[in-house]
Amino acid sequence: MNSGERNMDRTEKNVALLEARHLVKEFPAGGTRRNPQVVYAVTDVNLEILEGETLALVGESGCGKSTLGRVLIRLLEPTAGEILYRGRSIVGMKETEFAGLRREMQIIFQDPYASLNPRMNVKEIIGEPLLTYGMKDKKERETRVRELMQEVGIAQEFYNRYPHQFSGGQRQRIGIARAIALNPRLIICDEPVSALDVSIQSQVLNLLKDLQERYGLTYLFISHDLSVVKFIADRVCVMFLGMICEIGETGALYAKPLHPYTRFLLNAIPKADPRLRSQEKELLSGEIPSPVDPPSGCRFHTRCPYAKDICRQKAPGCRKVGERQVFCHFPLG
Amino acid sequence: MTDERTGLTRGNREDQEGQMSGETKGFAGVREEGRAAEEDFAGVREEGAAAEDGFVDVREEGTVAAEGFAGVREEGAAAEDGFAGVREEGTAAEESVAAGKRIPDSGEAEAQLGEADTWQDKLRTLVRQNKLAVFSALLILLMILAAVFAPWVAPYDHLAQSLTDRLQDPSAAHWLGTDELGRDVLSRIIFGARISLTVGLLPTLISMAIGTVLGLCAGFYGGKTDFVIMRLADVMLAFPSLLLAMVVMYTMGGGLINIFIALSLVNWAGTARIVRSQTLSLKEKEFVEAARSIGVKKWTIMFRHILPNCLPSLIVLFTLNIPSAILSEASLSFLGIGAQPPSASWGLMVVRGKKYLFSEPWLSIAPSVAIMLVVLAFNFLGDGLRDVLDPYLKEQ
Amino acid sequence: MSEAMVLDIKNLQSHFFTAKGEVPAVDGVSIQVPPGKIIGIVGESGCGKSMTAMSVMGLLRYPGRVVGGSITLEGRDITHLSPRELSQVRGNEISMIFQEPMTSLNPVYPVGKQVREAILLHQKVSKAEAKARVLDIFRSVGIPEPEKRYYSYPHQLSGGLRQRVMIGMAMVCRPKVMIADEPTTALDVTIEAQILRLMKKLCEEQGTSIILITHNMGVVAEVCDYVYVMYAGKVMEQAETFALFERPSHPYTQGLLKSIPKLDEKAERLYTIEGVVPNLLHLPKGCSFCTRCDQAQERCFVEKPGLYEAVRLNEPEVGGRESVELNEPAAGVRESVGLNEMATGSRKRAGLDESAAGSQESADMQGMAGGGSRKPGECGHAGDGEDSQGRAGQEKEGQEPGSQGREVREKAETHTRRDSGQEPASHGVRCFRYESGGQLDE
Repeated sequence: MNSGERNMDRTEKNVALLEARHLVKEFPAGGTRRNPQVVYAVTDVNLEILEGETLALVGESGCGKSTLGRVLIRLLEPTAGEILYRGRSIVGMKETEFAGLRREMQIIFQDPYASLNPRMNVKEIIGEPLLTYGMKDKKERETRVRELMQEVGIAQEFYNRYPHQFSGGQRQRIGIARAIALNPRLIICDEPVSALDVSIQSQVLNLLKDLQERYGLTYLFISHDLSVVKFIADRVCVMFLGMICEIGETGALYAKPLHPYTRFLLNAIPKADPRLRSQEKELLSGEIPSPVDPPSGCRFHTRCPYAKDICRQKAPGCRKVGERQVFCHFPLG
Repeated sequence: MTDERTGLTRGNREDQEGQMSGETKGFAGVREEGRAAEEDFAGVREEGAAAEDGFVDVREEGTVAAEGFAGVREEGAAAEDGFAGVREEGTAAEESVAAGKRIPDSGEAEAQLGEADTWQDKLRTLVRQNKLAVFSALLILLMILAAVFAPWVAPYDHLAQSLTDRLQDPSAAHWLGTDELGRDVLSRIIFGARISLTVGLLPTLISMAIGTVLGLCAGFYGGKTDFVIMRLADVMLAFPSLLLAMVVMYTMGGGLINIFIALSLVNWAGTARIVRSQTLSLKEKEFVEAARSIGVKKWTIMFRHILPNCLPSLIVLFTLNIPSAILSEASLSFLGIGAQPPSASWGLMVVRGKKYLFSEPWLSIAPSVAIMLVVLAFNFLGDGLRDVLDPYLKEQ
Repeated sequence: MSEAMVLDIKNLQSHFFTAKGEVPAVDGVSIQVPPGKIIGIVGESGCGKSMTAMSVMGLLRYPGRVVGGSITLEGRDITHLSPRELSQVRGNEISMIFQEPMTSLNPVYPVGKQVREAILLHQKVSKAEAKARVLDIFRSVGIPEPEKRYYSYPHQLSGGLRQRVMIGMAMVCRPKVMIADEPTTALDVTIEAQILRLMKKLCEEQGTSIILITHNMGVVAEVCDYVYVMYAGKVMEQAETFALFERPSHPYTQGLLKSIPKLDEKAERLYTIEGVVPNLLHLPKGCSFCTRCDQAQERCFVEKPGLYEAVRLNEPEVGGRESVELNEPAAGVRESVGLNEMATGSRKRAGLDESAAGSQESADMQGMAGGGSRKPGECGHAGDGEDSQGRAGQEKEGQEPGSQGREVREKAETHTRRDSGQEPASHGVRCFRYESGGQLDE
């Protein structure tokens, strides 16, 4: 509503908007009654999202990044741990009490085909959050919806169209419009561009950046694509199998990864320049272990060429190297 | 050894999953699965001999299967085509050509072609592709009109007896002859359509409404609610529905109203199951998650987000349930606990004609043919509608 | 020249006959596949890259049909083979792998058995022999504990292992050509890198040519020898990989490359290609890219450009990573663009680029064995051999770029010579700006 004011807020940098403390999320994964199996999706995560920044959550499939994103805004209940939103604990908060905060945290999804209800048209989709938060007047709603459409670059004549009539990029824009409709502070972007074509991807990324500037948004940007992350993120948090490997400012982390996993991840990205072929580079061998039965100690030790005994026995604690945090017994020098 | 066992259980699980997905897709899945399974297994099972049979190659089968299954991901037409092409003919493929694969996204092309999904366009697709369904729809429409305007359409009064005209052969005056009381059979069939069609439509609507609500609740809330509702449904399904209806009829007595009640109570379970399984899959969809993240209330999510997405299968299910209700009424009337004479119910007419099956066969055959026509028409229409409406062919 | 090609696709046209009209999904595509090389077909969704593959495999289904052109496999025209003959070719001489291996594997049989069936169908060997061969294959595609994995069901394997099984299956008969349709799109980056390396290895060791279909420019740059960029059913640009990335010539290719976020630079905004892919049913009258092209002229809207040889243009490049100003005079001076092209840039990074490109050669010679591991970010252009890298660095600092050009040019020329006869296509661009280069297609 008053984005100007919000922008003012932004000047106070380095204030944690959302803070996770010892966050744990486990899912039941069948098994027998006597011997139930558990997916250890997120294990003891400590994380701060600063007001106005873009924090990227990077990792391969099954590393728990999407789960973490959803837990942080309480789309999933954490198994243990605490989440502080602007200093208030939101875990275990009553739904009625939380409703007011709910509108400040929104989410953009990966799959633009599944995230819009195929039976609702643009008007209804973007209007739904408005309706839910009491904008009953039809005229008022229409004005706001049209404004939002303008904002994300959907032509006004599509007001009454249905999602299947749009391309993936346009759908993603509609999803973004829905997410910003309530003037949120925090948006979880769950792989918002990985389902899009390259040329569309850049359009959406630019849009996200513009919106952030205009509304002083804070993004948690979940992605597996390190080049996209490099473009959009201020800080990066690398995850592996439910565990944080490394958190640091984007430029520094890319220039000098401290965790072996980060390094291998950066190595593995196919770069759009044949001169940078990774043919001779060292690649990570082996597969990603199952989160149902994660390795003991440091979870990365089964794939890590530098693993020593202690890595197999003891999970590494946080080491601070300047602004950087790295969770490794033997960080790269 | 252990491997074999896992193989076995795996196989079982596969079966179950197959069933599940079949359920999820409503009836739509069944035909699909059959074909898919065929394709899938053919390659390996046929082993060596297959080569001469033109089954050529496991890998080849693999690719073909992949082509069919992978439709979602594969780019463009051939893939989706494998799935939908045969039935959806033109449109599916055409859309997918332009739509391209789901990941990554395609362009405007899809946005423009997507228009094929408005109701008018769906109707047009139906008209173009499935002449049988359209013909069935017309037939049904004709019957409904005839039933509504029966007094004007029917050549005679369906209750007027004329002992002089008993058991006449079909003639110009009485196209389908007369029955043992001299009533015009054609007129009786036209009037009988009133009963049959009402019985087909009303109890089906009621039972499906019950089933839909229960299914939605079971699927959405899960846990104990789910358990109670589904066990109840299991019990209902375990009983032959006709038997159950008979029990109801015997306790409450015959008559049309009681038929309605009996059929409404008996048939909800199937709907509940289908709606439940659809709800289960729909509530995991991201758009439902999006609604939750906005803070939309549960009840609103159920009725605004989940129910509309079940509608296509419900419409199909509706057209498929109608004939079974009509048949049930006919059977109940045939057994003497349905519509009571002298009302003209098709089931009743069949049973009354039974005595004259060898001398005046048209007495039984004419109403039987009427029943058959209605049932077939609804089935064909349901088939056609499913092809056009089933969102799972397109959206996934 | 085409004799040397394993697979020669000429002017292939595959249309879909739909109720709304004829959709030219593949519209006059010519692709040459030399033996033992990896050909990349890259493009956005709906550009017809998969349809091209399906057409080659003879897997197009109703309402799609190949309506023109020819597909020649080792001198034999396979365009009009009967389904039966075609299925003999498939698997034996051409094989295909897909994005999601789970859908191509039968879930109720162990993977080893499925691969064994494939062997038994194509070769007259006993079951025991076949099994031994399966284990060999599993080993060669890098599946750990092949004996154990032989009895695994597809769902028990990870995505990467499943893809390895599929590749193994596709390699059973040592096909001449393997078509890989987005083989790594569903995989994680670290696994993707493994699979790409495996494909490269198989290609080199077994001489199988690979057609790699992908939307990821990075994947292309990583493994491909030649690249075809497709858009709306047509090849927009074709070139040797280094040449393409060095001098992307078509506005579309340039746009694509510019719109990818780079790892080595922090941009404030990304370049975007405005608009969306046109509807294949209502393509623009002229160049299919004209509606989105920022360099389009009037003519582009009314006339369809042919495929022209990429020549140097007089005008400043709007191109790729950085615009390369050229000393060379005049458009119309026709010069085929090969590797040597790279020796002529004059901008500050060009110097480094040249030597890097040239010395890729030496890195190639050293082969994979010679190359050591390298930390990322150590140098913006890691990827060539150790010493050449060092040299490149020196040159960058110390020397005038032009002065080392000669040496590099010589290297580049040897490269071209060695490859001549295998060069499938010169650098072709479907854009009027290059008309002076002369038309390459019909």
